[in-house]
Amino acid sequence: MSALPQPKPQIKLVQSAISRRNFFDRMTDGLYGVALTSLMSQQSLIAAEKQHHAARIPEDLTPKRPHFPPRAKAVIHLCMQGGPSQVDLFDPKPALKKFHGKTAPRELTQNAVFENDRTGKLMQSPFQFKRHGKSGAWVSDAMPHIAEEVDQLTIIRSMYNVHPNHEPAIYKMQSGQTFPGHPVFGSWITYGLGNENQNLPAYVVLADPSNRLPVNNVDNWMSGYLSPLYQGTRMRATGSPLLNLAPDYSESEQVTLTKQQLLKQLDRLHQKQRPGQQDLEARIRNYEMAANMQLEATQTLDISQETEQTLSMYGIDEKETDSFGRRCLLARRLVEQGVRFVQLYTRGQIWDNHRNIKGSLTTACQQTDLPIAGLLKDLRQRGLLDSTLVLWGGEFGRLPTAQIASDSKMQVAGRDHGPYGFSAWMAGGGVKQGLVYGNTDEVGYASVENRVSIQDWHATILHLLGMNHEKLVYERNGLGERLTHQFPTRVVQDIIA
Amino acid sequence: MQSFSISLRLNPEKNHALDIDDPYLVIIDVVPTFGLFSVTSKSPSLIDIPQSSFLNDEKHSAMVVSRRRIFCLLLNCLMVLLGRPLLVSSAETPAKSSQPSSIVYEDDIQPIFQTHCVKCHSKKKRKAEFDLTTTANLLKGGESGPGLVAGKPDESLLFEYLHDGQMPPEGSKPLSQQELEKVRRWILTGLKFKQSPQVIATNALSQHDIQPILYRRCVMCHGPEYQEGGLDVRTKASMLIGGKTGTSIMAGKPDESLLIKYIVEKTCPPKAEISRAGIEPTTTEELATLKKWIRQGLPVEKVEPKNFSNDQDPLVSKSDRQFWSFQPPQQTTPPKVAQTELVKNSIDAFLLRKLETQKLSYAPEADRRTLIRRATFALTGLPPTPEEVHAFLNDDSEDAYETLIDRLLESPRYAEKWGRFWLDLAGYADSEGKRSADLIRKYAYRYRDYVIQSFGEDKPYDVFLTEQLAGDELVDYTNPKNAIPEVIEKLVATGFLRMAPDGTSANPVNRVSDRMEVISDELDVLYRGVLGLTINCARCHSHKYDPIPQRDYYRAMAIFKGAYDEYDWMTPQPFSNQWKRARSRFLTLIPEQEQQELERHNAPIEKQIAEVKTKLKNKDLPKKEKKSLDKQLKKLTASLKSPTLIRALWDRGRPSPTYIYRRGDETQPTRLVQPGTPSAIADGISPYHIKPVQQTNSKTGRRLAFARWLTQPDHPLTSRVIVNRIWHKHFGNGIVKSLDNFGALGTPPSHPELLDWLAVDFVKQGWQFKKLHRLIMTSQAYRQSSSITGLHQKMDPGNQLISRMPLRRLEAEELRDSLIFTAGELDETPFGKPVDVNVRPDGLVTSKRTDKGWRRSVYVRHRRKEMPTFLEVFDLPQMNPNCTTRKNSTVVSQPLLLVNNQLVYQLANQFAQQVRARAGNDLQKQIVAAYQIAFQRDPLPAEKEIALASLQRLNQNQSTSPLLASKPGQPSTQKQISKSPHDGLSDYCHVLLNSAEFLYID
Repeated sequence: MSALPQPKPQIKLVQSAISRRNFFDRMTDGLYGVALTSLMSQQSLIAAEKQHHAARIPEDLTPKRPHFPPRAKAVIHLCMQGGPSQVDLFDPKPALKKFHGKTAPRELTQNAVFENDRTGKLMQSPFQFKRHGKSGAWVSDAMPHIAEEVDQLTIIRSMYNVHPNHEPAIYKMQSGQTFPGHPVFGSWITYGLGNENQNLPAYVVLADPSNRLPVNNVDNWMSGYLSPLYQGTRMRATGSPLLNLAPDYSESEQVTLTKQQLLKQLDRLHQKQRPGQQDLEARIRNYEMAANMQLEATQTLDISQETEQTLSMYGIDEKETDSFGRRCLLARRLVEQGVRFVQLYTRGQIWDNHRNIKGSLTTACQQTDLPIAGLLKDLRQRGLLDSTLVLWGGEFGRLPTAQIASDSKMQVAGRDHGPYGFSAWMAGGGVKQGLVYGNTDEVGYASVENRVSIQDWHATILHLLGMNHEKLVYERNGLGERLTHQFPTRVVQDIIA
Repeated sequence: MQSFSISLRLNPEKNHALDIDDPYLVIIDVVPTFGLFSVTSKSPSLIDIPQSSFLNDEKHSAMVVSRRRIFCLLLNCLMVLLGRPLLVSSAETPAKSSQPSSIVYEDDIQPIFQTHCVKCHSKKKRKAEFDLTTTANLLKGGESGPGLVAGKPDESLLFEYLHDGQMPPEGSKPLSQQELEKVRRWILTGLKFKQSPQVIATNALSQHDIQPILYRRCVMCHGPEYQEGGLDVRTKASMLIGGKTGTSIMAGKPDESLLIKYIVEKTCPPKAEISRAGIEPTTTEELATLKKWIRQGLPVEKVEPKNFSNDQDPLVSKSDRQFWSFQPPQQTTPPKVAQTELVKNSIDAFLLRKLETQKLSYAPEADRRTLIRRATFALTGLPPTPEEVHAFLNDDSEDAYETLIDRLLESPRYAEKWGRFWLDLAGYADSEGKRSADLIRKYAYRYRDYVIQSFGEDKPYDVFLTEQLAGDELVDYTNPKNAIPEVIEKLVATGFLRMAPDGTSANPVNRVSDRMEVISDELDVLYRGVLGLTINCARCHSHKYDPIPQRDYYRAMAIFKGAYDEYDWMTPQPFSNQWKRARSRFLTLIPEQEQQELERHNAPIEKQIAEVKTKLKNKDLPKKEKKSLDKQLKKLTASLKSPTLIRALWDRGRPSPTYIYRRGDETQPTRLVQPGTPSAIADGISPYHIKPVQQTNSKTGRRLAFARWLTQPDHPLTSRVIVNRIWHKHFGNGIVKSLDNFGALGTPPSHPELLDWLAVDFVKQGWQFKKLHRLIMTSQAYRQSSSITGLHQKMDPGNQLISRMPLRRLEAEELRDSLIFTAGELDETPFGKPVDVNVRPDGLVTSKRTDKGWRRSVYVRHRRKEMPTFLEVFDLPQMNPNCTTRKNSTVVSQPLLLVNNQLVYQLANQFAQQVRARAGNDLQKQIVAAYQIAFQRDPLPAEKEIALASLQRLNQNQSTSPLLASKPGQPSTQKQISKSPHDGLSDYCHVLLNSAEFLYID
């Protein structure tokens, strides 16, 4: 159990008394001021003294060196919670035509949790599939724009999750366990790598502005037993971009400035009478940083300088795509500014297409297809795609069978949750371009070839970021916790370029 | 020549409905027929399955496994049959046919074990009860059962330990890659020996093979609580008696035994109940084991509980027990020191002695204002008032300081402040956690009140612990005559053991494994918190550093089995779709007077309800009238008062047997254990001794015995751990820095004699916290200034020697409460239901205001998913499961909150009003008054100057400059804005509340 290799000087810094100059040097090279106290005092000393346990990762947001050279520096996670239907998007199953209206062969549905999952009647996809790009990967006509970008993607058709209900399955996707309390993978990543930009949060969440949050709500970006530093910070395009960033009251600019100045003067006086107290210096810096963040976060979220062309690429100002398009554009702007992990959520569970797959899946695609394709294009044009890992997928997929209310017809049928096999894709950040990996069975019920579990997916993401999932450890109550827990895990080397 | 039987089956571990990781993994069992490599405790049954049947069974799964792999597997089978080198391919490892194959134990493996392992795993030492010196013992395995599974390195515990680097332990040379690969291939190729090991084939089953199965699958309906059809399957005798339809088992005749019939016909466990009751269907392997046991004639093995405390114990040696923290604290004499004038009490003697050896001394005594602020915050969590400071500064009596400490200790605020200390340790929260619904624990606050009351009355720690661990075994509460406050209190106290996050109030997460999580969290809280031992790792394997064998974990579990039984579970909360037989964790026990009041209140309402109900029975009632009656009924029902319940834990006198679970997995039970305390803690104290408790309902007495064991005066850990925690709270450093770990991985005490002296004295003084505080706070050490000199920084950078007091940031509650207090807005109503919180759409969680102001933070609802933002930002943790050291972070969300948050802004306004009330409109006077209220001192000239300039500018700005249009993101809390206008003075006060001096105390 070893943690990330840490630059030695920091420990040394702890043991020797820190000179003022030294201190400021550290400050200016981007130390957050965050948990400075812990860097300098007991915590690190304990860490330095302890021979038996590997050195802890300092709990702050300074950039950390990964275990080995990374392929990606930042991650954009397009969280498609609800369960996008693989057999209607990326995983065509001609056999469904053959079996349409018939019960799935028993041997394919052996492991279904619910009896209902076995008895439903198979349903062919109402969408048309075509090969796209040089790679010739299949994509349905529900996603015409992403189809154009297919040569950028590695489509994994063999994902699987362990639970057929949203709640546990989403917990699993985020944290590797089916219940809350464990850090989500965005938290692990920022814990391991810190942030490039000290004036912006390391882990930014962009969720629906009208507040229709995903299942499990804010638990989706909780840092569990890791420091709240690594929690997802929700940013908004309108109003205060993040919690408490703007005053909850009105105040003139001059008053604000006067108050800031007064505070600084008082704090300096206070500090002068208490030489050698490191906490106090950290605190003064902390207030300055709060002011910087106020400025920089506001600037980053201001898209008024973007060109007309860029805006239209994301579908901004178009009714269907405006909302998600803005989030996609913000994601690019945040990554550009050095934010490590950006997570996008859709409005509610748009992929949870229990009814009328034709209609409801089309709507979900219309809201997201163009903006996501725009994001990929934009990242590529700006040379950011190489260093940015883009993830697309839900907590599970859907069953190939029809789900129909007893009084309606097959035409308006939807599909029920399908954790046994589903599709997800990755792009940029060191993954192969134009690859289709793994397979589900004949009808798309379960993943059978090159199966990728949630922890495999996590480990692969960490790997692309230069981290070994077995070494990214947090010591807690005598246990070495990690994102992949104690599950058997493999890094999916086959999809890495 | 060896012979083998081969079976092909679905991965048995993955056969459960909800766990579909790798459901298609096909595994080949290669089982030598002399029964040597019996794979796991439950797999021998495989041998019984006729080949034809399992081949048929597997037909379907074979279809979904790739053709290549099946072919490969079949090929391997063939090779095995031919007695060829065993090349078994698991799903993860493709067969490498080119590898040289014959790895033989004596030539290739034994030398490796000899080099790396035998030092500890010898016949004499037998660490983890594992002896590698004979091949028979090697195959027998250690305390977790066999460590080698032929053909399956991935399932072999021995390989897992080597591969993960868990063994050899850190500090020893690890195995090289080549050596590791050799071991892997030796296992993979079927564990070849030159000489077949001498092993007594134990093919015979006993009740211990079948009992765990019955507990997992049947006892819910045929056990202690319910005997469906009159059947109880917990013992052989009761199974023989059977139920209404006769005996359930017939020796030698499995197929005629009703038990088997019901399972085979899938009548049991009943399908509809399965997920609701948190059980899963009997697996094929389990069924086979049951059948085999019946066929063998129901053999029973008598197990004698083992005595672990003798010197022959291979797991815990005499020297293990001699580790410093496992020895009773010694009576020590305070040493002589040079600077006798600095010795206020014995603490100083110990500290100065060490300082003097480093040629250091104490920092100078802090001034009186600093002292009263420090002490007031330390004991009450609030600042002193200017008047209190004034009085103290002018108290010329010799014991002015001691009098101050005594006054503070008697304040009701002391109980609130230090109650919080224990609530952190217990992991107090007002919700269940573990699930996104995070159901509210409506009556958890009664435990919070119990803790605060106990601190207020300075309940001795031994009594306090005993009540919390075994309150239900102390009093006979089932006797209705005993519904008195003294009895009720003891039951509320057991809420301590009900604080862990608990997700079992829902069907998909109320499985045995989920319950085990709850028990595991409780044990963690208790052992780490009270004993300073990390035992969680021993759930799956023996502790790597401390002499805590795996069995000790399960012996600890057994102590709690009478109340916390994973096979006899009580549901935390009623919930929809709940199993109709679920049982509640609440006790209703209310004093007679309260009961009468309730009845008096409810009787007339109930009468009215009955009347309305009769009216509603009339089917010809007009719709309109029916509607109004329904409404009336609803209103009446709502006005009924219900009794306050008790979230308690109580023994039911019928614990299920406790088995060690291999790797913590309840489907892999190994040995039976009896309740017991850690074997390493035995020297100098009386052993754990159970006396059943005879009350109206009889109880096991296991927890009461544990509490008695724990609170012996000479217990090596109980007193040390708690005095160290209190010390840490005062000095910012523990004498043992690792507060939760007094084991090998913890830090050794910086002042061992002092720790022992404090521990012994604490017990001698009657385990009373107030005396301990008084002792610590009246020492000269505590009165030091917090200023740092160059010398101190050089010689004692971490302040391990206590050569000064630490400057400290206020804790979350202290800060929030002080802000409210300074604004004159504190509502000091104690106890009762927690204050509700508001959750703003952007995630800001704030507590609600009462009509008297804001209540102290300890009374605000702590729902895990809705932690009050203010407290969370200043490091109040979500309890998962508890918190024994608050973080002390300096993060950017803190200034953002203090500057931009509406509550702080509004409090600044009220603070300004306090200032104005004292000083009128004179700026100079206002500044002095503001400093007095916020910091209890007069401003320095420089501060006055700065303040004056700023105030003038602020007042000017207020009247001239236009307001920025920076409206808050969410207008929903607008109404909270105070009515009085915000002026220059308010802005000035807002800055003071934000200043470092407010946040840090010297």
